[in-house]
Amino acid sequence: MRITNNMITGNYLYSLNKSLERQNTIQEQLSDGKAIRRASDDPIKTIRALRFNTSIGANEQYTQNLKDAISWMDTTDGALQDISTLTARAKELAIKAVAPNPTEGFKAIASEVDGIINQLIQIGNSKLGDRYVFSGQKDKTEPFTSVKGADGKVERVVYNGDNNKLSMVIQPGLADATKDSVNLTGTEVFGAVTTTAAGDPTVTMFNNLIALRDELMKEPPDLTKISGEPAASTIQGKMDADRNAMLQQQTYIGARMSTYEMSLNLLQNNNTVISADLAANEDLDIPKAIIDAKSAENVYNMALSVGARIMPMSLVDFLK
Amino acid sequence: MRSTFAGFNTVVRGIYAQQASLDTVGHNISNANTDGYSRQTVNLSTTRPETIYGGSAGKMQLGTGVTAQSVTRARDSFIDSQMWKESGTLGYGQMTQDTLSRIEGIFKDTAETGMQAALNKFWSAWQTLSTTASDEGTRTALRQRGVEMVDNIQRSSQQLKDIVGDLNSVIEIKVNKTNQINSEILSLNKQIMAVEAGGKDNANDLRDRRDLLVDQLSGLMKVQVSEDQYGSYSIQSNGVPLVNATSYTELAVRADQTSPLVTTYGTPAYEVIIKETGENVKLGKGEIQGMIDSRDDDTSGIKGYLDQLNTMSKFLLTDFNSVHRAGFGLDASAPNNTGNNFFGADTGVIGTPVNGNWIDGLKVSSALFATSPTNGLSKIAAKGKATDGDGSGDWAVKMSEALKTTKFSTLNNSTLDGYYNSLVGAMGVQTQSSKSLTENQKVLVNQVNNWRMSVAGVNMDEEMTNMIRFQKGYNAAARVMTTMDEMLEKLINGTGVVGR
Repeated sequence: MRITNNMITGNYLYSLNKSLERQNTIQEQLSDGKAIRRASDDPIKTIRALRFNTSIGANEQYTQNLKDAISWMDTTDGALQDISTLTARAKELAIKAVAPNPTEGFKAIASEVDGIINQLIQIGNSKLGDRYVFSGQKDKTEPFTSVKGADGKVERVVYNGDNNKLSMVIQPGLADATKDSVNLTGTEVFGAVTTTAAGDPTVTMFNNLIALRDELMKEPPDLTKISGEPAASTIQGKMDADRNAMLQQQTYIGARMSTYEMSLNLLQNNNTVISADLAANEDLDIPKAIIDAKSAENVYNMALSVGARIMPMSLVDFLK
Repeated sequence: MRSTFAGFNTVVRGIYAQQASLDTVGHNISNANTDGYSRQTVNLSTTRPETIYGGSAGKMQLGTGVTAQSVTRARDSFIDSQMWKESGTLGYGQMTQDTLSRIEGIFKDTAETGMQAALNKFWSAWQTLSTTASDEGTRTALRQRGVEMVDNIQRSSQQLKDIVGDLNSVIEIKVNKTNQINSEILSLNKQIMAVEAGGKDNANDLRDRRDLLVDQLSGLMKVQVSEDQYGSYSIQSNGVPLVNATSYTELAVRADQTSPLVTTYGTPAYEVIIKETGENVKLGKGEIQGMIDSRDDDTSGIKGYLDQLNTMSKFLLTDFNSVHRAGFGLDASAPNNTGNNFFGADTGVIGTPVNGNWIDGLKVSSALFATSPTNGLSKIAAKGKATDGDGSGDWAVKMSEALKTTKFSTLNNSTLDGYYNSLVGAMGVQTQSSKSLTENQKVLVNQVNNWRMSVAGVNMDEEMTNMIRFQKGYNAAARVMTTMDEMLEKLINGTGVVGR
């Protein structure tokens, strides 16, 4: 083939440019450690990166939901423990009242029961942030309000919440109250609602405690109403039933909490796995890239020095 | 009997011929770096011999020297036609690749920015709302994420339209350049015909210039070149006559009123027309057609990408809204707490816009920004039943599902995520393949160019060798003349002087 000087320069420039381009690509990659900079670098990996990023985002969101759910249940559980202590004390007091020769006067017991009622109202109105935990879905409404009688004592406790479950989803899919609920409603903890003649919804636990207090305030109290046979129809029996129902809920929420703790572990593990996948997918193999960069640089330098030596040469240089 | 001085003529012819050759060597060297130049050679041939009578030997032919018969350029028209075929494809590929690379820049996703990130954040905001439905702050954040989503779609669509504007102005420039090239080719056609009219002369340098212009033209569009018997080119592109011996077709651009880019997206799209008749023409593949196709193509063109953004907007305005309308806002007793849209008009089904453009109508409903009589935020549907309390976020979960996991026929039976992913994937593949095609074509054109330079280019070694050759020839002829001079000197001044 006949070779002309412009061919040499043309080809030289073409390869020099190629070599520069290669260097540029590696440098670009090294500058941020990512092997993919634009979709066309590797369309498949780009889409995988999108998916992985989406999965990480979803995972983080579900982790957040989970933590919210756990803190909700934590608050609930703390409240239930207090309720458990208080109801235990109330039971003690009821037993004390019916025992012969009460060590304290009925009135003193009654006033302690009254104190317990007030404390329970307070616990029933527990909040997480500015949301009431026992109001069902009406989380911005104070669930328990007390109506006071002329003597300044709590006459009845009205339940203002509803019986709906709050759901916090921790996995893809629609919210399902049986699977995703995190709350206990006021009625689940404090017993069923009884509507008074005046139309106020009241809950059993308070009704029974108030009945106990009121009975003890009478002179003399009718102790058979407080205790006796059949147990189920006495105040003490009813209080036991209330407490048992409450304890059942406590067990239930405890079990759910441990499930959620496990899920939290799972999600955190997933996060590590997906992050690793993402890194494997788009991160640059740094040692390889550095070696590539070095060799591209060598090739470029070599091309430059060879070019400088052969390009100007022709017969012109040797004619005298 | 020959004339005594006939030998001088022979030698003078030799000197002239060597000189002409040497001049051409100079011309070649001077133009070694001239674009489109092809090296020239002086073709020497013997002059007509003289018939002399050699007495008893009879007639004989005595050479009378050399003459420069013609000056021709080294050129292979086959390579030229190869070049003109391939460089159009290269120009087409380069323009497609340019546009696709710019589209790629628009849909650039990182973990924190881009359409996917906006979509993810919007989804997260719905999920957060589902756990804290009664919280106003969460609702505000969600509304803001919605605005971000809208901004992303509209910004992308505006950027795509900006590229269309750029392409239009470049198309206009290239069409003007085409006209300029064609008018120059026409004028060269005429000059070449005039020079070569005698039949023997070669208009080498004019032809080089004309071929260079055709080179430039062939990058703009694929051309078919034919040369007539008088040496003038007639050029067509995809059946559109551009130049012939006597005239050229002036092209112009005009905004295409029927293009969907105008009717739907309201951005002008230029088409190429013949200026005189106003007829719309489709040129052969080259830079101009590459720009037009990368603008108008339904899948890989800007229009295709606008269509996909349009579909995403349509999804948000129709399907997504219809899920939202079925949910309930805060406070069941308040009027209008259901049937509200999240995007677009405040309530009701949003019908197809007259021009089919959903993108322009995409916005977060203004009702959600109202501050009276009720706060607009309360219209965001987070609960699924009127009887649910405000703490319920069940419907917010449904909304988030609609964004990520529910498949809709509007989105070609895929999820919004999936739809966007396939947009990015298709874009990546298109850009990648257009890059590699262009790269291959570049290698091919480079090859043809090398091939052409191998034939037509100037080689300095060769020219130097020729220079020495012709110099020696010139010197030798001059030496012969000196010898003849000495001979005649002897004859004229040295003979017939016996005894003087």
